[in-house]
Amino acid sequence: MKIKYILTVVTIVAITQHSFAQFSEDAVRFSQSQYGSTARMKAIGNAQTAIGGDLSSISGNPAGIGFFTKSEASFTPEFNATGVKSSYLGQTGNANSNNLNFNNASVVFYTKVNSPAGADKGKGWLSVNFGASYNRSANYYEAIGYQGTNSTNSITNYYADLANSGGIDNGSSLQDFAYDHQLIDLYTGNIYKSNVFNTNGAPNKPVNQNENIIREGGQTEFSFSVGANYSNQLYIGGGIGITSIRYNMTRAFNETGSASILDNNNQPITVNYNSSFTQDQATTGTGFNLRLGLIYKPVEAVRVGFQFTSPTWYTVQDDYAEGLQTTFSGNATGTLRSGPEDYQTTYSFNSPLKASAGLAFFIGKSGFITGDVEYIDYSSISLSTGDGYNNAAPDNHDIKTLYKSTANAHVGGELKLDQLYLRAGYGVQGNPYKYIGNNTNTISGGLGYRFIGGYYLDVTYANVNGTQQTAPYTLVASGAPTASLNKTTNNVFLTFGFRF
Amino acid sequence: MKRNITLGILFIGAIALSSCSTQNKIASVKTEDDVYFTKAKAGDEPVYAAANTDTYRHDNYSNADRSADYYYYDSYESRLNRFYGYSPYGSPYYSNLYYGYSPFSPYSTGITLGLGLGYGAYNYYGYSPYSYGFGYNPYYGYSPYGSYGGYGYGGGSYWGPYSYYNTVPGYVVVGNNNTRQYRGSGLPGTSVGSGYTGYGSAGSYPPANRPSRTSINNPNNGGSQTVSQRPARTTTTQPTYQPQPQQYTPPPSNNNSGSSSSSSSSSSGSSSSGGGGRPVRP
Repeated sequence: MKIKYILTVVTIVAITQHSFAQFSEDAVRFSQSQYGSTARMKAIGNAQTAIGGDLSSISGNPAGIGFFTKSEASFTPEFNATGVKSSYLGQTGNANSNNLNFNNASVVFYTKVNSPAGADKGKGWLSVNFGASYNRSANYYEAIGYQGTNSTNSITNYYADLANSGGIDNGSSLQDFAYDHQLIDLYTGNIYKSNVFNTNGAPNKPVNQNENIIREGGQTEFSFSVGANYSNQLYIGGGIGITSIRYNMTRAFNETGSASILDNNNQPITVNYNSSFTQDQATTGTGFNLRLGLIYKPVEAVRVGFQFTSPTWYTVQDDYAEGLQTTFSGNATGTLRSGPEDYQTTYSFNSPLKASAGLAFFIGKSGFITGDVEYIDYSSISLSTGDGYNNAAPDNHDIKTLYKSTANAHVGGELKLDQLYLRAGYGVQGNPYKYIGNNTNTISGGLGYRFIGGYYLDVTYANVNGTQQTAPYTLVASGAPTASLNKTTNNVFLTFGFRF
Repeated sequence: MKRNITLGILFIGAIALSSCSTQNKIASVKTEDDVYFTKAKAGDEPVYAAANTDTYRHDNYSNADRSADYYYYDSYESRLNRFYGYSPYGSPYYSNLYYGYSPFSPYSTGITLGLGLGYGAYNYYGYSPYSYGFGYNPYYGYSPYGSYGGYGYGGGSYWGPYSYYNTVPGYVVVGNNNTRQYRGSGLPGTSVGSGYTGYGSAGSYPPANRPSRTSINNPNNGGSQTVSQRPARTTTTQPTYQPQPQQYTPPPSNNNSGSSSSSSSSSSGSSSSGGGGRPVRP
């Protein structure tokens, strides 16, 4: 219903200027990072808000590092296997990507606070601990492939929409490429139309479409935090995060079919065409944020945690290139190449602020269960202009209208059998899209062992699954094809840590 | 395979570290886990042998008054002072921080982090191209042992005329006419523009009054050929056309010299024969 409404609005009027960019999708992508954590926290669903005393606190709730009574360090490599099952116009596909990464390295320095001799050593400010960590907070590796036969429209309809909204002029835009390649023409009524599907006698025959997308990179964060312990009951902390984005994307949309083009005497002839629209993107960025946290133990067995993470203020350098190649066969032969046209852009944006609250119940020293809820408003993402990007309004409008606020929830538990730990967790990452998409679910489990002498080993398996929709192109008229992508990531994390 | 190697390295590393650990930490007989009810205990303040028991130390801002009475011979501060002669920040802060005496003193690490946020508000390193690196160096950026970390994120120069970015060759301001174009939201159910009318004044849709061009330069299609205007076609009926295979040399929009070899000889239709560009199609 809502989509229909949007389409109606869209059909009524679509006005566009051709000198602005599209970064809303990327800004949302870069805003979906996770708190860096150890394998232990990942095993309990990353429900870290109310649990202190784990090195995950450095990049999560900084109050948690107030729990430390000794200095501690750990490192965590990860293995990710990402598979995307696609469904497009009735056909299914599959693509996989595996990679090995360094996920987390953390250290906390325990610093005792001194009090006068004779004072109660368990009251007042007892310690101020400092922590630093490196985290891989987002993983962008994925390969996507889908194909299908489209009998109602073609990407050339999209090019015609672009030409009608942006005009054909300077020769370097995508619609100019499409016009040069005779995929679209100007028709009576001063309107650009597809030469494949339209009402003026184009072939109107089904076209074969396929798209391959490869994404690489990730987001990392350096976190610096301080946490203090008051009477072993109240813990407060704060910290900063310095983030770094590396994101590369290549995608190629290929279409084969029949088109009506004008020959050298401007007479229409029907030819077979094979046209590929390619996009390459290399994006880097840096950002920083602030964190504040609190954990309170009303009674020994219960912990209540609150955490506030400011928006991350990012500055992004975006290098994007697009090109079009079309080969004709049949009644006309030849290959046309346009581009790649390169666009270098700098822009800035802020991710949403995050607020979370958590609760934990401890069963003596035999284990605990915990959960937390985190609020994120994706529609609060805001982009700002930069070099080569002089109008952020369309992207900000897309963000306001297509994304929403959501909640992430995590629950998990740990069973402590002396030196052996058993853990399980579940997490739901809320769907940021207003009209499409689903939640992403994470199921996790793990084992840990604490050795005599103050070192430990934790191993965690996490399965992340979610379905998203993507449109290879969009149309003013209804009927643009949608690819449904079911992404499953199997992760293994291994943490080795020691106290000193 | 890669994974096996990593696991192997980890395992060997674990064994290696465990052997160190057991030698060095024999006293630690039980496992500890700060998640579970460990209790922090405050330490004892050092007791000074000075006659003056005023712990506020009136001499904070006068290095001249410092004497060995006020601090440990072996303290960090005193060692520093022996080495440098004096300490620029009122030496007690070194010893206090190091021994945990006053975590909230104005030169403590907490404040250090605060300064670091300012992107070079305290731009001590000014134009140094290396200041960027300090931001990520946990020793300078986060050292609990001194206030130097305050200069850590020397970002003032980060954006300055000698900044990190502007030193990248060729990465300079890109003109508006090379702006990456809007390609839609990427989401189903939307279209270019998404029905949004705030994009500017490019005209209405369908475009009724786009300015016509006399000629354009089209660098993407064979260099710098001049493409003539594509005039409107006057006929409104589609010409009858018998398809016949022909040698076709695209792009036809550039052949205003008429150099293309063959052509079909069908009828009428176009009023644009003089221009040679592609006409408006019926």
